[in-house]
Amino acid sequence: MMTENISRRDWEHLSAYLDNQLSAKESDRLSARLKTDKKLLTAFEELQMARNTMNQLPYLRAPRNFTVTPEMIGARKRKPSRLYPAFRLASVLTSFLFVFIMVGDFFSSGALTMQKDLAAPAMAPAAEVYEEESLEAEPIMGDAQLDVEDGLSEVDSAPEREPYTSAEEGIVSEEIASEKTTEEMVGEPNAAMPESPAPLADTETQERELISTTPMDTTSEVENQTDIAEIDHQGEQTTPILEASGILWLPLLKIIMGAAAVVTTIAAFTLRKRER
Amino acid sequence: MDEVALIQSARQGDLTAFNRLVLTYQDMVYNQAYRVIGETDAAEDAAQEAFISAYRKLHTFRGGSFRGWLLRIVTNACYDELRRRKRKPVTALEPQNKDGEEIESARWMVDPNLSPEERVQQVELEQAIQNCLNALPLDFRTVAVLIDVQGMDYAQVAEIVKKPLGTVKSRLARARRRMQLCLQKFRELLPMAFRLSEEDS
Repeated sequence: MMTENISRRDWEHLSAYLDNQLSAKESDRLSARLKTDKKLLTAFEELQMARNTMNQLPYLRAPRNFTVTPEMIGARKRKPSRLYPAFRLASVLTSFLFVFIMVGDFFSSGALTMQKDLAAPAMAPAAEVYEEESLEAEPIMGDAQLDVEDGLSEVDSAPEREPYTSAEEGIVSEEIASEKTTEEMVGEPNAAMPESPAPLADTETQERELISTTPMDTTSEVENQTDIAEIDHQGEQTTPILEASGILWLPLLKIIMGAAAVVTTIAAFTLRKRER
Repeated sequence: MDEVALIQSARQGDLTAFNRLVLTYQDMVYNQAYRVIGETDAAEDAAQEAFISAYRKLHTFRGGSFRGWLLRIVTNACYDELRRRKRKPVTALEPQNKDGEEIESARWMVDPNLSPEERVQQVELEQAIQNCLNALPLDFRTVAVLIDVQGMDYAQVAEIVKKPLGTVKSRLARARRRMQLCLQKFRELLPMAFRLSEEDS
């Protein structure tokens, strides 16, 4: 072929000349050579033909759309974190537990308040009766005969009890009654709860009435009063103990659950954001 | 919305804006991929990968020609795709049907306004050119496609292939020379004007 002897440099110049990529000086020089050198002209025409042929290539339409979907970006951007579903589940669970505890606490505290409100008026008369009778202890002792009649009449009305014939029997029955009451109160903590202040008051009244019927000495009276005081004291202590235990664990649980809900939610949100 | 605004929105994570750019440039990207790789499936993969890569690297775009920036990405995607497919068995240059048989008339390439004879002739010519392109070394082919098919100028191509201007000129001249030699084998398919020059020589 004629163009075989064309140097590599000439081919480059011819190609660049074809695209007007030569400087003006180089372009003028090559133009002059092309007019005189037939081999160079043939080479130039060959290059022109090759370029024109490639320009003939049809501009293809894309066989499909290459739009990018979020899945493509997400799947290829980074592997989805395995922690995200765990944190999401944890945040849901802790939030649910937190709400559950808050609601439970609200209703339970409401119920306790109602119980206290109900117990307060019931306990107040009993305490008043006890105080009044304590103050009137001496005058009662003075009117022993009168009280004996009342006490006997009440004792008679009770079917399980035998009529009291002597002061000793009265003292024994009083002690038994006192022990029974003490045992019931101590054995059943709930008895100290404000549901049973009225029976307690009745028992105390009966006891005091029975006491007043007998010629009791000062020691037995003091013991009796001590027992009653202990019963009252136990009854007062039971509720604060329950409340104290509630104070310890319930707010702590609320704080833990609240903090866990916030932390897990933030962690899940952060992981989600990072994945995007 | 103009291109700059779309790029700005896409840069801020607006995928819809980016997909509008995709729809604008997908033909160009696919053409580049197909002419460099010479195989439809691989070209599609490369084009898709190029757009995904472009979305990810959008923050690196510093203005200028978005088209040139995209062509650089798709060229790199083609290199990656060819490297990946190098380990696989050679596939036919012609498109294949589901049974693996070559499709004689690639209807997706043909201008529907042509007569049946012209269609056949155009398909054959195009396949001949593509075969010659495929016979070029990859570096030569890339430069030839960028300049002679995409119409880029030398300086842009030098930037895309990250080579000096002199290297681009040299590769283009040699690519054209080889193309011309290759196309002589398909003289009968070439338009008359192109044949005459060969007959003269």
